Formats: sequence, structure tokens, C-alpha cells
Amino acid sequence: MKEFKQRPVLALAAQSVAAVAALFALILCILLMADFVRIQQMDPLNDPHLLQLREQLAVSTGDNAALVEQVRTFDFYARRAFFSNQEQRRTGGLLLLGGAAVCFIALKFYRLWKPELPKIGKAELADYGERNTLFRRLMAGTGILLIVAALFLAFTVQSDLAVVLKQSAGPAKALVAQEASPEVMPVQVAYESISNWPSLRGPGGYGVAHFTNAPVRWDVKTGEGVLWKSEVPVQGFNSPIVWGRRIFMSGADDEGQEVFCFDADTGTQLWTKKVETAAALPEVSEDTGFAAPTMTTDGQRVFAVFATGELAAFDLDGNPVWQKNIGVPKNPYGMGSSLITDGQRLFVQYDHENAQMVMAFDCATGNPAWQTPRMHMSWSSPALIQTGSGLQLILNDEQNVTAYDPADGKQIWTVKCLGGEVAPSPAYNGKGIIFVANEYARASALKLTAGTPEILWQYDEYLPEISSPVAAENLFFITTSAGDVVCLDAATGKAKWKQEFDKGFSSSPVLVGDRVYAIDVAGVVHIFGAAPEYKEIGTIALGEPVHATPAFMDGRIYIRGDENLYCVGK
Amino acid sequence: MIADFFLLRAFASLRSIIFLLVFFAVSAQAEFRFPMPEFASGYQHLPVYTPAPSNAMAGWDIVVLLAALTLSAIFVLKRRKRREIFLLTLFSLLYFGFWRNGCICSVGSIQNVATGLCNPSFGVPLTVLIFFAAPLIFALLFGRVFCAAVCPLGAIQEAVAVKPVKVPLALEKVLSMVPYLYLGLAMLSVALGSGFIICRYDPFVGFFRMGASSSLLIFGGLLLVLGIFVARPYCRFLCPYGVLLNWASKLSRRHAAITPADCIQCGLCAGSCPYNAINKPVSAAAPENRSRGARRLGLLILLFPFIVAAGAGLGGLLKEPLSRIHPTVRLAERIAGEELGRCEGMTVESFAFRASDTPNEKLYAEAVTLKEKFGRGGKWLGAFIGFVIGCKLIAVSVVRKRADYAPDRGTCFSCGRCFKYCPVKE
Repeated sequence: MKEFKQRPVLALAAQSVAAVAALFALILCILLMADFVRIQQMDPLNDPHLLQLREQLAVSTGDNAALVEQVRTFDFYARRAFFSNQEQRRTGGLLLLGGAAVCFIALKFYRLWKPELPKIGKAELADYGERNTLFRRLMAGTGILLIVAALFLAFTVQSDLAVVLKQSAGPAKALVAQEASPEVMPVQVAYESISNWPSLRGPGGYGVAHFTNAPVRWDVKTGEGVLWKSEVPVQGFNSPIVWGRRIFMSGADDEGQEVFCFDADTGTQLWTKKVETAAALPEVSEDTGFAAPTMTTDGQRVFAVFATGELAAFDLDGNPVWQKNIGVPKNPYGMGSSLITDGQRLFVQYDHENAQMVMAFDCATGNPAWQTPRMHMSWSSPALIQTGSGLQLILNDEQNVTAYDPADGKQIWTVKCLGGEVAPSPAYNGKGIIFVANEYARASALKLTAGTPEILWQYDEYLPEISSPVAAENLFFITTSAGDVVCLDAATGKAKWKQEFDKGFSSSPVLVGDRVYAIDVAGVVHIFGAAPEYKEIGTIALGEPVHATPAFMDGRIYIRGDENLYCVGK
Repeated sequence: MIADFFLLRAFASLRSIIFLLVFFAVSAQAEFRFPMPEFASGYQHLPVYTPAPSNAMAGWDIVVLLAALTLSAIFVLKRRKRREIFLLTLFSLLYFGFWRNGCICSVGSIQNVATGLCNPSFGVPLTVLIFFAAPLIFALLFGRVFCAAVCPLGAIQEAVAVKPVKVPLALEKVLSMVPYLYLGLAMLSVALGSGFIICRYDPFVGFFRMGASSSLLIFGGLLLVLGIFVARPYCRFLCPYGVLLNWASKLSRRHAAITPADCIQCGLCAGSCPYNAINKPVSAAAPENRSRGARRLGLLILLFPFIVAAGAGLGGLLKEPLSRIHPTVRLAERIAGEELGRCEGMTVESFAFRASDTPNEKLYAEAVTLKEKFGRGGKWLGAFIGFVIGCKLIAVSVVRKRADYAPDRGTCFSCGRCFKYCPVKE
């Protein structure tokens, strides 16, 4: 039979060609593998030399054309090397495939010229019936195997979604209940916390004072109505917080970061503590500085964060409790978000170029409690509001207002209604309406519902740049950087009145009973009625610029000027 | 002879190593990306240009497909030349594989047709329809002549099958269930809008296009390395289109025959088929006790609906794992995992989702709806698998008499290897 004719010489030739082709392919393969390993280790964009050049460029001022040219040249060489290498690898890959193809073709010819002679196949099973019995058993076994595999998959594949939905069923039901009930649950926060000033803009951080007996008349020049005045040791744009008879603030400059405590009755400085850091000072704007975030306290410890990302906790006597660096925030202005706590967890809004997230730490230990990724930058501060379904942590960013569960960081809802570089924080009227605003965006009133809040209305005329809005039960107030004060109807968003002042506002207004206190950047305190018509109650000059938001306690106001801390009242 | 055997083994090992290494190297080439330059001068990047799909070759593809199928049928049924079949195989590999980049492909066309059936608004192009139907029609007429020499996926495996060995028949039977599972999963995926998984996991298209994900290239490479010893592993143990061709070929009007005249039962052909696709004669004395066999067959026919029902019940339990086929469900699970703190960082998908500012609740609601659908779809899948197992059990319980060595019409690829081993000539 000619199909089985043996051609030993040709077979040997084919064998030799196959061997050479295989060797060729193997060598190419080893070279490509080595190249692959080398490329895996390459990171041209993070080359130390390039990074160094970029750092130099970032800090350089004036004419840096030579430096720019160096960076460009380096980048060009990196790209040229990459694309040359890519071409080489492509050629190598094609040669390799060619080698493999020649090898296989030669082996096929080898088989052709040295074919295997036919053999009589041996019987696998003697009996047809036995064979079919085996096949039946195998098929049944396959079925059982599939059942076991299916059961295994059914009971081992876990669903995180199911856990989330189960968890959210509670709050959702509560929100539904809230929706159904005409009475919105009142704010329920521990009295101790309410009766102090534990964070920026007071309890909950939305600008409503618990005590309503703040003075409306005083005179700094004569000292009438001013209990004391103390010099602030280190500059900072953060605001005072108060717990019991102690006032806490922080300050920082390029020489260091400090936390200080004053006696609320006498203005005596009780202690000052340095917060050391190994982090390099970041670039910050003059308007923000190194200590813009206001401190917070849980009643046992005080917490401060600085532009270096250094987060520190002290007890009320100034003894260090814990300290950590959460990463140097990277943004054009510096760290702006203030701290807030629910008594158990310390919340940090960390929305910067390098990372966007909200973090919670255990107040006592500083251990991370949870961390939730976010999407946009922000200089705004968080607010803690009490809803029918529990506390919600409300955060503003460049696009959204988002609520998180303080217990686990789970996002409860988010509404896209903001824009621009947002610094103002949310306001809350205690009746289920959240109010947010930012310059170059719009003001929005969000009505809490069982799911995502409904946007009641939006307003886009006079908007705040730095100071946060404040909400009375049926009215919202906005103070702008241009010196405008606007009162809006909470139900419709229609402007009730507008008042113009000479100077703009950085400090946020605070609702104190039926009055609103707003301090402009020149240090003039404007007191007016929280009413549908504008009614001036008082205008008092402090005599120095003010950027911080005052703290309101029982019959007293603590105001941080750029240089002095004032206690007004009795 | 022994020296030859070891030499061949040595070559085979060398090739295996080469294959593995090649695929690692090619994968690096496929995945490495150099980012775009950073411009600080306000330079506007040109928009990405995506050329409109061209149908210029579609007509040619149909002509070539029909011509190749016809030639294959002639080579298999008339000329009975293995060499001619193999040359046509190489042509198909070059044309449908490397020239046309493995697309359109009859194997993947099942999904287009299934989508068209599930979704009336989805138009199935005529070319795709022909690629789907023509091999099946040819299989109904002449057996699996498409597999023999036209399918590029089969062709690339045929090209590397240098030293094929026989897979134990028992293992072959067990593994023959996998294509049915794959087909069922693919149909479920298509019906619920989860994408074309047959195309997504096509192991050889990366070679045809000279680029794919590293995992897919490695998978394809391993199949080819395996294919040196186990001929056509994808065709036999994975190909979902092969299931349909198998059914059609069983009913074929004409089929490749081992011998052109009367079989002399020499048994020389039995060892030549690497696919275990030659059935041996079953003598009249061999069949087991008829009454016992009839009782068993009756029992299996009675059990058949219960097997199907059990499959459906079991499939219904697979709601969770099956639903992960769908990208929306996977994304919802990922977002939920991130919210629970069980997943670190963000994936590209979760990052994009968060950037879109779509509320999580909306995503979750979509995922819950899809999971319910997968629960129902799982029942259909389970019922299908139960149906297949029931049919196979019944098939091996039916007593058949066979006088000659004959190809198994369902599993025979009509490759023509057995032709030259038959001493009977026309």
C-alpha cells in the first residue's frame, strides 16, 4: 500500500528541519520571556529621575523653560524606547510563530514520510452489554457530580448585595414610616452634646445653637458685655469648640502645629500641645492656611486635623491619646473639612486629588472603624443630622450631597445638585429638609424621603462661596462673600428679603432662637431676626477681622478673631 | 522505532514548552499600554476614530463558506482523500482564521440567532444566518463536513494534532456533557442580555488576531498543547455548536464511510480514529438479555420526566452563581462589597459607576430583577441538562445490532484518517 510507504531519508530531513525550527523558536521564546520580565519591572512614568524633575518643576518659580525641556526630552526617550521595544517584540512574536509553524509542518511531513503502520485495535470491553452498563453508570455518576457541583455553588456563592439590601431594609422601613407620619421625629442627640459646642457650627454641625440667650449688645472698645479677651497663640482659620468650661482651638504655621485650650470663664490659656509630624508641609493658599479644619470633641477627648494630614487626639487635659497621619491632602487650597463625631466615631471627610473618601475612626483608640470611597473633591465639612431612621452623616462635594450611615459608612442616598469648588456645608431645618448651596452652582432644598431625597426647589441668585447656609424651621439664610444676606422661604425657595452689607462673609451664620448671628470678614457682627421680613437687632464691630464661626453657649458667645479670642456675655 | 518514539516525544515536549512560553510573551504584548502624553499647553487630543464596520467581504465569505463545504463533502464522500481534506483544512485556517480573524464564525453565530429569537428587535444579518444554517444543512445531508475541513477552530487544532492518542472511552463519555452545559449557559447568557460568552471565551481568536487577554491566550495555548496528544479537545469537549452538528449529523442522509465497499471486519480502522468515533460491530449473540434490557429501558423512560424536573429544581437553586454572568449583577455585587468594606479599592467598572452618580439603589434594583430572571433561567438550564442526561441514559439502553465497523454519525468529524487504513479499495 503506497500510503504506508516509508521514506527514511526524507523523514530524517523533515525531522532535522523540525528540530532546527524548534530550537529557533525556543531561543526566541526565551528572549521574549526575558523581555516580558523586564517590561513588567519597567515603570517609565514613575522613573525616579523623571519624578525628581517633576518635583523640581512643581516647586520652581519664574523661568523654568530648561526644566520643562528636560522633562520633555526624558518623556520622549521613554516613549521612543517603548515603541521601539514594542516593534521588536512584535517582530520576535511573528518569527516565533513562523518557527513554530515550520516545526509543525516539518513534523506533518515526517509523519507523511514515515507513517505509522495500521494495527488492529484491541477490544476495550468484551461485551457490548457490559460496556453500556458502564456508560449508564458513568452518565449517572456525571449527573450526581453535576448535582454536587450545583449544590456546592448554590450554597457557597455569597451575595454582598443581599447583605446590603437586608441591612438597608431597616432604615428604609423607618424612612417609609417617617414619610407616612406627619410628625417628623425631633432631633435626638445626647443633651450633653447639645448643651455644648462640640464642633464647627455647633451640635450636628449645621449652625443651630441650643441656648437661645446669647447677648445682643456689647462693646469691645469699652469692654461692656465682654467677659474677657485673650490673644490667640498661633494663627488658624478654625473655629472654637466648647465643652464644659473649656474652649479648644488649633493653629499652625510653617513652624509647627498646635492645639490649645482656654478656660471658658477667665480666658486663661490652660494648655498648649504641639502636634509633631514627619510629613512635609503641603502647598496651601493663604485663605486656608495649615489649620483650617475646626476641632471636635466627644466630651472625653478633643480631635484636631491639619493640612499635613496629621490627625491627633488629646484628653481634655491635653494628654496625647493617639495620633496618626491620614495622608497629606493634595488640592489647590489645603485641607478645609472640619471634624465631627457622634460620640463613638470620629468622621473625617477626605476629598482631595489624591483620594476621595469618608473615614471613621474609633474615638478612644483611633483605630479605623470604616472607610467609604467617594468620587469628588470638597472643602466642605460634614453634618450629622437626626432623621426618623437615625443619624445620617451628610457630605457635600463638587457634584453631590450624599448621606452615609455613621455606624458603617454605607451610602444611604446621594443627590446630584452641587457644582464648583464647594466649601459651604449642609444646613438642616430639623423638619426633614436639608439645604445646600454653593457659588457657581445652585442652592437646593432636599426633602428627605424613604429613598433618595426629592429636590423641592432650586435657587441661583445669591450664593455662598465660603460661609455655610443656615436653616430655621421655615426659612433659609445665605451669607455671601460679596456681603449679601438672603432669606429664602423653605417651602418655595422664593426670596423673602435681601440685605447688603459692606463686607463679605467667611464665617458661617448661626441660628440662635429667633435670631441669626452673622459676622463679616471685617469683624462686624450682624444680628437680625429669623423672620420673613428683615429686622436688624444689632450691629457690633469687634475691631479685627473674623473668619471663624462663633460658638454659642449659655448666655455667652465665643468669637475667634484673627488675633484674639473674645468671650461675650456674662 | 523506539528511538523514533522518544524523538517524537522529545519534539512534542519541546513544542509544548514553546507554546506555553509564546503565549506568555504574546500576552505581554497584548496588555502593555503606554499612557497618552500629558499636555499642559491646552492641546486638544484628536477624537478617537472608529471606522464604520465594512460588509465588503461578507458576500465573499458566504461564497467561500459554501464552496468549502461543498469541496469538503466531495473530499469526504467521493474522493476519500485525507490529504485533500487536510489541505482544505489549512486553507480554512488561513482564510476564516488568520485572514478573516475568526469572525464571522458559525460557532458564535448560535448566539446571534438565539438573540434574534429572544429579542425580535435584534436583526440577524443574512450572512450570520447563512453561517449558522449552512453547516447544519450540510451536516443533515453529508455529516460533519464543516468540522472536517471548514471550521477554523477545528482547523487550528487539526494542524497541531501530531501525535494524537485515544482518550479512554469512559472519560470521553463523561466529558461529552460539557458542550451541552456550555451551550445551555451561552443560551441563558444571550436570553438575559449578559453577552456572547462563546465569543468572549473563544480560545483561538487571540491567535487569529495576534492579540487577546493573557488569560485567554494561555487558555488557547494550553488547548493547543493538549491538542498535540488529544486531538481537537475544544471540538470534542467544549464546542457548543458541535452539539447541534452532532444532532444534525445523526440524521444525515449520507455520511462518510470507512470502507467504500463491504467491510471485511479486519479491525485495522478502529485504531486509526483518535476521536473514539468508530463503532465496532455488535454481533447478534452479544446483546444482553432482552427482557431485562426492555425493563431497564421502560424504567428509564418513566424516570425521564423526573430527571428533567430534578434538573429544573436544581437549576433554580443556581440563581446566585448564574446571575454573576451578567455584568450588571457583577457590578452591583462589587459596589455592595465595597460598601460593606469587603472589597478593597475600586475596579474600573465600580469607579465608572460611581462617577456616573447613578444611585446605588437603582443598580441594586436592576440586579435584583436580573437575579430573579436568572432563577427562572436556571430552571430551564437545569431542565435542559436533565433532558440530555435522560436522553443519553436511554440511548445507551437501546440495544442496537451492528454488522460492520462504522463511524459514529454524531461524533465523527469526517476527518478521513480512517480511509487509508481500510484495505478494501474501490
